[in-house]
Amino acid sequence: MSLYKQLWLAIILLLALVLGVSLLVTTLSAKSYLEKQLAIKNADNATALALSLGQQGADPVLMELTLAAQFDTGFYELIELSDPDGNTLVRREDEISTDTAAPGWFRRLLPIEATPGIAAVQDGWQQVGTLTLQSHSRFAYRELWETTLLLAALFLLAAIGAGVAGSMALRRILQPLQAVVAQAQAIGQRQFVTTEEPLTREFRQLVSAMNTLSTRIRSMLVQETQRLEQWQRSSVIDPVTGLNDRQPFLGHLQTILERDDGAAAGALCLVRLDGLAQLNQNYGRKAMDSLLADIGAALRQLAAANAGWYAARLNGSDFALLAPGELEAQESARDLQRAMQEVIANHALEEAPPLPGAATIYGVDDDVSELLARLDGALIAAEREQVSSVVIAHKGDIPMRPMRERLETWQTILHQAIATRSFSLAEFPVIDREGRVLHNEALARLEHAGQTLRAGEFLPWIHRLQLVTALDRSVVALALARLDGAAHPLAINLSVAAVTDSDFGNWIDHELAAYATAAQRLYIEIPEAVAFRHIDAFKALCKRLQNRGCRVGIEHLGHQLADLGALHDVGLDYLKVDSGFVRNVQNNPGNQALLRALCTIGHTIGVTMIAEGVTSDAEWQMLLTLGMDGATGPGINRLARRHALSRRPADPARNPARSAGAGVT
Amino acid sequence: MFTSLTAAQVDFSRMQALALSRYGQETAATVDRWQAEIAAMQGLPDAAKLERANRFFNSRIRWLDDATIWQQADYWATPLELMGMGMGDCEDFAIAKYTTLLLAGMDVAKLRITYVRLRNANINADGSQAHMVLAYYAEPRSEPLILDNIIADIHSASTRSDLTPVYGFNSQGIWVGGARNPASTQPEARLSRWRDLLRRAAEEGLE
Repeated sequence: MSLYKQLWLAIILLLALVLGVSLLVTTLSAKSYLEKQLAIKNADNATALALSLGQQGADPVLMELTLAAQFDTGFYELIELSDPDGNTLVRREDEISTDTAAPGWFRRLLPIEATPGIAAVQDGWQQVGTLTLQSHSRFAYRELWETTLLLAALFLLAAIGAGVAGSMALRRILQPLQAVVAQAQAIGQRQFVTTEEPLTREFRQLVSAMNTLSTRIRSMLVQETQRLEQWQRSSVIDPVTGLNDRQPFLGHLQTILERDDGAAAGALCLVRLDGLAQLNQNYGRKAMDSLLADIGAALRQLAAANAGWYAARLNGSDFALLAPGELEAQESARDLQRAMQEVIANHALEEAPPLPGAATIYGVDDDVSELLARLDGALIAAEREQVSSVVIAHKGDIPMRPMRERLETWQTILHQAIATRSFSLAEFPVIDREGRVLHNEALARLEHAGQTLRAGEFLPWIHRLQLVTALDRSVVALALARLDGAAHPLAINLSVAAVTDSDFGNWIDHELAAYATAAQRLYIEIPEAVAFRHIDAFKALCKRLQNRGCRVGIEHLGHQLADLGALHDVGLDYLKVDSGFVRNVQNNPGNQALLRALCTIGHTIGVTMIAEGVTSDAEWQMLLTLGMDGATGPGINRLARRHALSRRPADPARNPARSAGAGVT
Repeated sequence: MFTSLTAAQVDFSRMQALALSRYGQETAATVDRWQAEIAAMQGLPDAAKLERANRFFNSRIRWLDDATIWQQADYWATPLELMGMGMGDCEDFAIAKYTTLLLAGMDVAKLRITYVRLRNANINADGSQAHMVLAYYAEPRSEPLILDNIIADIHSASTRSDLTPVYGFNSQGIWVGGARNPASTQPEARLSRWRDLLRRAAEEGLE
């Protein structure tokens, strides 16, 4: 029973008790008052009557007549005159007249017993007899009954009034309690929110305690993630420009190429600050370092302004920009060139150095070394021109068809695909430490001309043609349909449009309400870059999704760790760590330390940590020792298939020390 | 505690103490003698009881009206107050004698404190005054004997032509009504002089 109901009952009981007792007391006191009044009246009338009888000379006929006249007024129950020896002379008793407004049970419950009036009748010195007189009690009963009824009605009214007032007061008093409960539930769902402290002291203490907990968790999260990011930067960042250096850039490029989403195709640009050695000699190393630092700042700003972009200093004078999803290499290279030119202009060099650039479009079938070779060739060609031109490198040296033409082709394909619903989902397992499937991650596929196109092939075009919301809706609908009867929960990826477009928010809310059961097993993940860029919109979407029972995770985590602290009150279910940190983790002590720290932080706030893009058993074994809760990737797909084939239950002995790890979804 | 005075009892030690503290040694001695008188009256025939009770008060107490004694128009004194003051009004005599007789074992049904009209040319201009006496009925229907303070001896009613009876009562019923109930606990007790008297008497040890 809720507290509200219990207090209500208590109020009602108390009211009934107080009013009931007060009704009883009032009625009893009224009864006693009436009895006394009747007794006084009896004594009074008896004395007066005895006096008047004595003065009539005690003539028997006159006495009888007087008594009869008195009796016939109807106010008496009994008038009796007996002689000095106790024999009855006259007796008048009303036996029939019991009709009164008061019901029989009431009279039996509260009998009115008034003392009869007794008086001696004398004729001179001669005793004539004793007069006994009893007034009728029916008037008293009626009075008592009506009083009681009136009082009961009044008390009922008072009870109703008090009940209404009490219920209002109760609601007011308990109002903060709902907020307190909501906060406690939010904390239970890993949403470390703080709320305003209510005025009621007990609630205030409770809220204060929860606020302290939330604040501590938040500050822990903020501090730890910032420290982690600093440490991470110091190990892979070029100290002069603050940009990533060659090694992490190549690692990132590799993982991007392996990705199966919109990032799997895009522009890769390279711009060279020509004659850096000469400039160093002319202007001094210090001036040049300052120039480079400014270039680094400008490029970081450029990368930060576009979700998923990644800038790096490959060697002394080469700057690279990776722009996933961008399909016009020329544009991206120009952006990079322009940013550098502006910095150089600000530094007022006598002769601005040329900034030859090269750009190419990468895609799903490319590999890192081939891409770099292609770019190097184009850069040499651009350098030869001695101006800040951009040379586009084409895959296999085959120039692409003009952009407009390709756009038109894709537009036709994609519109048709949306109209005919030719998207499908490919599922890849995410397993826990024991090899059981946590959930399946579903990636979009497009059936076209008898081929199944991977997300990396068509997603950049979908973004380009701004059809991404339609795709997001198709993916949600497909997932919800598939979840009906599916063995495992299904995770889907949504784009930036899903986060920022409020129409989509309304649509998915409605959709999830319609498929309430399936929604409980739908996991929705948003890329780190999108979530942190649109943090408020992301939080709003999370709230809607979680209200419908969906779970929310973040994918490709690891590049903006410092921002993780901002998600303390979102109630995330899992974090998927970018495959860049996973690749060859068994040989990379830096990433091992990073992932171990990340897992510790994640487990502190109760989040499941999952590694993306695991390719080998060696990686997975290392990840297990680092405390990772789950993994996905090509290596995991093989593992899961074996697991499914063998169909044997998980063997906890395999990792006995770790089996009690963090919470599993 | 029943203050009915139908079968009177008295707490003499309490009354003694009160007499001593309120009125002094002399009254205490009077109360002593009263106690002795009552003890002596036990078992005597009714006529002897009447005689002694009548004489006890008539010989000791001086008649004065209430206004003089109590500064009140009408005040019914208890036996102790009467003995303490050494003076009293007609009803104080009647009550004191009534009480004494009851304590001496007289049947209450034989006694009536009676309102009478007294015709006496000596008293005032029209020769008529409200008065109270104690009447004794040997049998319910017999002619009563009158114990009065104006004429000190006991006479039968027929010889007292100066008295016209108006109304008689004892503590058996009447007016006193619910005398079965403890008078001192009932709020309306003060409404009646009789009840008021009974209450005060009870406080003085007379029950």
